Amino acid sequence: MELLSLQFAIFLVALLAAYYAAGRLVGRGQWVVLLLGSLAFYGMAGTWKTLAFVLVAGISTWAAALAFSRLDAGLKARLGETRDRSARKEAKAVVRRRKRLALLACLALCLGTLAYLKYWNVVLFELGLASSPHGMGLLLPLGISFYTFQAISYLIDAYRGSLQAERSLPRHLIFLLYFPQLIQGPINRYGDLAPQLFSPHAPREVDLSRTLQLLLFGMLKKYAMADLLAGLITRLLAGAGDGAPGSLAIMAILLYSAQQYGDFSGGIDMVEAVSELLGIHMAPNFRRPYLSTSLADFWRRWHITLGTWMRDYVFYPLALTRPMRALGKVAGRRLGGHVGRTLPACVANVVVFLLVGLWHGAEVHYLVWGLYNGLVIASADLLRPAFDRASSLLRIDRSTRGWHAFKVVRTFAVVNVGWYFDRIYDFGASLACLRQSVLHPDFAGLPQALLALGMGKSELLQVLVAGAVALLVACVSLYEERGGDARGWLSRRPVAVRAAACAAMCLMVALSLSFDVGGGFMYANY
Amino acid sequence: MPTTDPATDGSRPDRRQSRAHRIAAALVSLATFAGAYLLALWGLGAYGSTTAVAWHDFHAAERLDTLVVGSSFGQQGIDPVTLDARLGTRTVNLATPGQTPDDSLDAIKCGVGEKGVRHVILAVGLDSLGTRLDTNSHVAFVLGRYEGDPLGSASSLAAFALRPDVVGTRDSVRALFPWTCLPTYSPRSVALNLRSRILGGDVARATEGLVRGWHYVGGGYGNYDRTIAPGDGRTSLQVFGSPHVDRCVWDEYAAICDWCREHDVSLTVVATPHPAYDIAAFGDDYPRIMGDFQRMVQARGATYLDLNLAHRDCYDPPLSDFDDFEHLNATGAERLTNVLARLIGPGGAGERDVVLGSYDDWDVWRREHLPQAGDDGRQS
Repeated sequence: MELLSLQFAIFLVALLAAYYAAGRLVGRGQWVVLLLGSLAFYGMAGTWKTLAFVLVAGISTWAAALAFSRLDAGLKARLGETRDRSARKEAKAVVRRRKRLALLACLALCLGTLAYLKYWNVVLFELGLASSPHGMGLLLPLGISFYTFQAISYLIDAYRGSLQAERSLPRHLIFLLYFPQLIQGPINRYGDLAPQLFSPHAPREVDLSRTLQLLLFGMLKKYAMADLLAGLITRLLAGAGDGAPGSLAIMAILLYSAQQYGDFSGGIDMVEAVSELLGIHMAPNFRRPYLSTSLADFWRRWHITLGTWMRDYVFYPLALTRPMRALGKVAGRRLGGHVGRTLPACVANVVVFLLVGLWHGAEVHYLVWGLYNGLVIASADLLRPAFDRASSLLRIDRSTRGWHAFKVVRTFAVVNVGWYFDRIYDFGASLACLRQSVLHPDFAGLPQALLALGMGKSELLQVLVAGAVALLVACVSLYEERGGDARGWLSRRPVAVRAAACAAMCLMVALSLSFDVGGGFMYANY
Repeated sequence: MPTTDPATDGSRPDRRQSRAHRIAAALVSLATFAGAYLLALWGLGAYGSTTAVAWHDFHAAERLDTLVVGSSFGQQGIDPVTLDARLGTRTVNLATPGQTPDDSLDAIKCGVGEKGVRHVILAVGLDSLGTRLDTNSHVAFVLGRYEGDPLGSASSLAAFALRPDVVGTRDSVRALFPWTCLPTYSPRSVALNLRSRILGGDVARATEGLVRGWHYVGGGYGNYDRTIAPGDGRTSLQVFGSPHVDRCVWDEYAAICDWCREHDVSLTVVATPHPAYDIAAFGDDYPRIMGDFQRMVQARGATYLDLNLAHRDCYDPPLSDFDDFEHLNATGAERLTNVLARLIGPGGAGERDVVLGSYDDWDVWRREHLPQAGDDGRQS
């Protein structure tokens, strides 16, 4: 079942009716409707065959969190019973050991399942033990990464004692299975989502006008921008590489920027809007990433929930380990205070981005892409004093708009270099395209190369439509970057203007469907 | 105890005003969306299409003897005007691009029920046996079938959108915005659509204006004057991949044969000609699959004619008869229809053995049709 389908529309209307009817009749039982609806969605959008994997993640993290809670309660009782310091210390050590054991076992189960389903085929293929990377035909459960990451965040937060363990398994399952987040996130946190899931909601809470705008804007990005560019990008990259003008690859990668942003953020807008219809606000996942002023800033604005997940559960735990602190001290003594302070964070960043690359896939080009991002961010941190000195020597005023614009353009270029490794599935080919782009861009040869592709009128029109939508997205982004609220602005217009704007967006989406191109979401089944 | 006059405290009129405001807003929104929908339907949805022409002529006919159905093989292969001139019959060509066997059966039932059709010509090709539903073709078919009946058209499209294999896909949405299946984009085409819809223009003329190179002939039929480009070596195998038989499609063809037999309708299944190099490219798959198909069709009482098997001294279409590697052009369709008229007309049964060869000895076919080229002979 696709999000843009009659089946999903019927499902959503039926769910909304049941959800708000339950709220009116029963008061606090709406989450049960959501759980049943989410299970139905799981069956329709994915397959029931993989539900067992979700249940394994759900039951194991639920039981482990409860165990943490009971161990802590037992420890508290024992500490209250004895005043003997060594006995208290011993009791604390035993509980700590048991909790850690339970944590590691549960992490191994959740991450092991994820790794097995995502990477086992690829590993066998790379070792020459399978005929193709998909040879075993393992079914990836719908939203496996997203619910696994959520389950792990819940588990670790429970281990740290920063949340109250959920006693009810069904209530824990709805946190993992909440259907708007299943396809491609966002990765919600228990502390933010659970209170909303379990509190009553009424239709009057929903700002229908704003929600509809968000839904249509998301659809516009996905169907009238991303989908319309996908075919052209493939054709451009097929013709790019050694011998072809580098500008062909440059154009393909720039279009890929738009495609990927439209696909991912458009899909997120759509599911955020669907969730808002239920009165539940999920975590934001994008904040105008292409207006970032550094690569680190970009990753704080792109797939925000993955970034914060990595920060809280990988980056800090790694950067604050004893060996890392020791490394910092040694580096500080030998290479200066700045390096000593930043080196542990740099190493942790490289590891985080390698993991992000691995999350995209076990293929070499994804790992290189992750490594590239980690190394650029680490280098920028390590070399910051040098950059500061250089800019003061050159008397650059960093407070001007021009400097800000320069940083945005520079970051955009750095991000796009990374996309070469992400989008071109063969590492050697991505290097060849990058080499051509830098050494032989040959912009004069671009029109000839485009003509050679033999694009028809329909394809040109697709590019025009996608370009118009990209322009609209850029305008909205600039307006919001300056503190504006585009949805609020439109909501304050007369109803006829709002309706005309929504109808125009609908028409653009329908027009994009007439080209009969595109497919599912790029980040679905990650 | 202080009392409040409901007429003066302002709460009720405010609520009433707010409700009225909401209703007005909803009406304005609905009107805007309806207006945009109709504007797109009329302006961007093609007024004329080859499918619309076929159905328009079908609806206009009072009685019919023969109906041609099938996919583009039939649409571009059989000229009803030539057939009628040779046999003295009344024929409409209702074959439409991408027509599925289910839609063909629907067309046959219409023809038999509404126009008294007694003979059906079903055009096929090897690729027809694996062709599943194509949304664009089906929506065009429905719009033509229910010409002048918006309710019938809407209910048929809704039923299509709710089909189990469609309802979960974006095709279910496209069916609700039917213009997305027959779109026209250029300002000239949009203007032509709007003008034709407002003034009630002729469908065939509108189609000639919208479909480049296509010319109306009559009996629901039109064709292209263009000829396969010299040196165009593409084959069906290259473009569509290895042929495969879809059992559901196969069963739907069987259902057509059964329905015709049960209703005393004479059915002739015609495999329209391709250039010999295109048939040769399929290798042994062609005689194997089509041989099975022939046996299935004949076992159900239908007549089977594969014009690709015609001996060269009886029927040998030159390359200039073809529009591309699998379709005939207007000249080619006229030539084929003349041969077909001989084979299905009075005394045709005797001619068939003389004109057509067999799948059983494919080497003989190769020697006859590819005397100079190798087995995978290409257009030189």
